[in-house]
Amino acid sequence: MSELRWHPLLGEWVATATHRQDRTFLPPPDFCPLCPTKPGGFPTEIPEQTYDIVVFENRFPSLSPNPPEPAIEGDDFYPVRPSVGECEVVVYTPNHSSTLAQEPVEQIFKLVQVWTDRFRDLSALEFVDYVFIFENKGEAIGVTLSHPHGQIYAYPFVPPRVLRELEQSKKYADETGNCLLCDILTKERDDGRRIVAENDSFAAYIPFFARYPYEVHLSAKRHLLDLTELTPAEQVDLAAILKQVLAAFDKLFNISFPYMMVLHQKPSDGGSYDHYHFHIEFYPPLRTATKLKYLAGSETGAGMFINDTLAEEKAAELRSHIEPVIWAKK
Amino acid sequence: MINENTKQGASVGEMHKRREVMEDGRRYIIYYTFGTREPVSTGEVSELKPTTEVRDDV
Repeated sequence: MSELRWHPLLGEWVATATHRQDRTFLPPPDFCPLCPTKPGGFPTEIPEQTYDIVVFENRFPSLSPNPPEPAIEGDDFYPVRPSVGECEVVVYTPNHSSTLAQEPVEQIFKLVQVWTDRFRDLSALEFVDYVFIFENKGEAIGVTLSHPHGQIYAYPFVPPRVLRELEQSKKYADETGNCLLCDILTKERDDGRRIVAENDSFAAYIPFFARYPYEVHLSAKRHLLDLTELTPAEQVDLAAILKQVLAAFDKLFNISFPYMMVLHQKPSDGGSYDHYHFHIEFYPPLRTATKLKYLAGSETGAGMFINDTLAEEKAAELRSHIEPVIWAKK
Repeated sequence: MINENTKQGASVGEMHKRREVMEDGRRYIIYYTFGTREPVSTGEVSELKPTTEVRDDV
């Protein structure tokens, strides 16, 4: 069963998706549903062998274009609506044992183009107001399949975190006439201490206000609202800086570094969002090689994060692991 | 910190996509390939169109 229930205290929708309790949980490599099907082998989600990147509809979606009727009838006090939307899985590579950090920058460049294509297609759907591209990586995050992949949720509303960013950005633009993200980027680059990596089109930094020890934000230098506005050169630069940041994450503790990666773009509800600014945020759960940053009482119950570290020190640590990107020869 | 190699080697060729109906007859799957390679069909082809041309000179 699947539906959206209104949370009157927070003013936001909660999705119930009871069928997801039965989803595949950390299968052995021979039974990975995200690997290409081998001849005579276990039938996976991907029958084909020859591809660069594959996208398919999630078998266990929280949102779907033709959702079932809600399990329970809502009313004016407790509104309920069908969980209409789209949930896609983006398989980054046929290679089961890889990670996005280990993929060549050319593959990440391809992924940027696929993200762009999916954003464009899903944004055009009449029932979609927001396209959310993300990756949960690592068992520490609760990943159930280790094959390198990300996800896309196409929501029938603008989700609350993004809505709050939009509101803050609008308020700042009304007060100053400037883009908030552009000014944050200027402030970070002028200061320099929290910058992790930079190229012609993008800068990666642990912001002044970081809530997680290694919370990297990756912002476009040019004021743009979504992936479709990137030039080919900017797509290249985005791939390059993603590769640098992801590789540096892995070098921090010499482990395959867990993280949540989220792309924040403008909504696709037809509104005007010139005050917003495309960026990517990483929320890694580790604060040391063996210790997790838990979202405990203050973070979960009050919404106030307590960061045990200084962004300036963590940025310097991460920056020391940044290496140039090597592209394959033509 | 500025990466001098960024603009090199960015030629991965044209993007191709092909959308098919999955085995369950309900969901879709989209195969993306780049360059001259195109996926070999194993089912019903519902879409095949290059959508993004990647410049060779960047």
